[in-house]
Amino acid sequence: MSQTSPRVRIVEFGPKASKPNVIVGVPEAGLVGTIACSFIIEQLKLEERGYVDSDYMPPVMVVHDSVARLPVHIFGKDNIVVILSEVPIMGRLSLEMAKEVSAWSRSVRANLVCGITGAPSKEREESQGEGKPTVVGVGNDMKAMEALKTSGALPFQDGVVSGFYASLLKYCTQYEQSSIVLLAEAMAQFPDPAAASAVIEKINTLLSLKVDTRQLEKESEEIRMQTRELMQQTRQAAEQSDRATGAYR
Amino acid sequence: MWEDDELDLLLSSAMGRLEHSLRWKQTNQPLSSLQVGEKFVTVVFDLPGVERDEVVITCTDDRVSVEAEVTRRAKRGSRVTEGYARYSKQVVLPVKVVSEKGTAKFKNGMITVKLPRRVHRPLKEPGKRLRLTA
Repeated sequence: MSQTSPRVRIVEFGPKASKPNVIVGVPEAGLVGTIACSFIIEQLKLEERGYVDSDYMPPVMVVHDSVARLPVHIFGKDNIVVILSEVPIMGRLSLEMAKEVSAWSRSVRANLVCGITGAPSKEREESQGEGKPTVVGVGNDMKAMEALKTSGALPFQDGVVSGFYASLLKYCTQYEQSSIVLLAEAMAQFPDPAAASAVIEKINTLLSLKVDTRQLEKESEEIRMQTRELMQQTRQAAEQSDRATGAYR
Repeated sequence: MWEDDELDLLLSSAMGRLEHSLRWKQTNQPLSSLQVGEKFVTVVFDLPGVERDEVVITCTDDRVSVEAEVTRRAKRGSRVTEGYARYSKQVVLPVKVVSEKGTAKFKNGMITVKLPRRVHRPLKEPGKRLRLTA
């Protein structure tokens, strides 16, 4: 049931996880979060456990095998929970959903909330995705910093995290929920499965998982084809959001 | 509370998503990016699943276009399906370029087109110096 926000609802069905690690992915630069979470769900055969909905969700139903479904779902197994969004989450919804996800994680006594996303990288754009992307991380408390060290992600020394993941860190901090965000260097404008692969490797180390990224590399071409429209929507949504808030990019 | 126009903006952004990897018998627009630098204009196209000899890049002084036709035969057990897809996109450039000196690199379905900007001849006279007054 919704904890704090009447505007976003988290509905659960199925077995509840105990002290889970909650991985969160929404579409941003390189669609890293979405590609990585989608792949983790597939490889670990996570079961559907719920969904996130809001009247302010974009009017999109995702179609899989001729079935129309909500765009944001919760999957889980044992103590892993993955919250995956297949639509861009911007503006007010971004804030409200981050708040609700943080509150929900606290309510299920999550061990750690891990946001995964891409950080736009000039070098990666210029080399068209050649080379291995670096993964940096940021945490919000001692436990999170320890987790970051374990994962092998480089500490993000100085800078800014913005958007959905910034709100996620903010509200997790407010609710005293340990959380980290892992950012892989990615091409901002094109789906970047290699960046998703790099971040999954860190998740594997951090949570002792064995998600096989070689399969992701093999499926790279197909993923780039399948996510073309989502990348286009994500780019448009980001532009609209910038215009609305007057942000300078 | 949500502002009405925020909500309108959100609801009017046309969003739809299709799952097919290649839309058979239709023309698709590949993703592209455009970067205008001091000396060069760089246009990148993403054509996953396409081979180098299937792509044609054309450019003029103010636009770059990509065309590709892909025919694939996929065999799954005894079933053979043949799929055909056509990619086409034209990017209009905000500045003039020297199309004869353009280069296009292909790697793993990503095509990087680099075009030198058309340079204007510098002014023969230095401009008039303005005195700064208080």
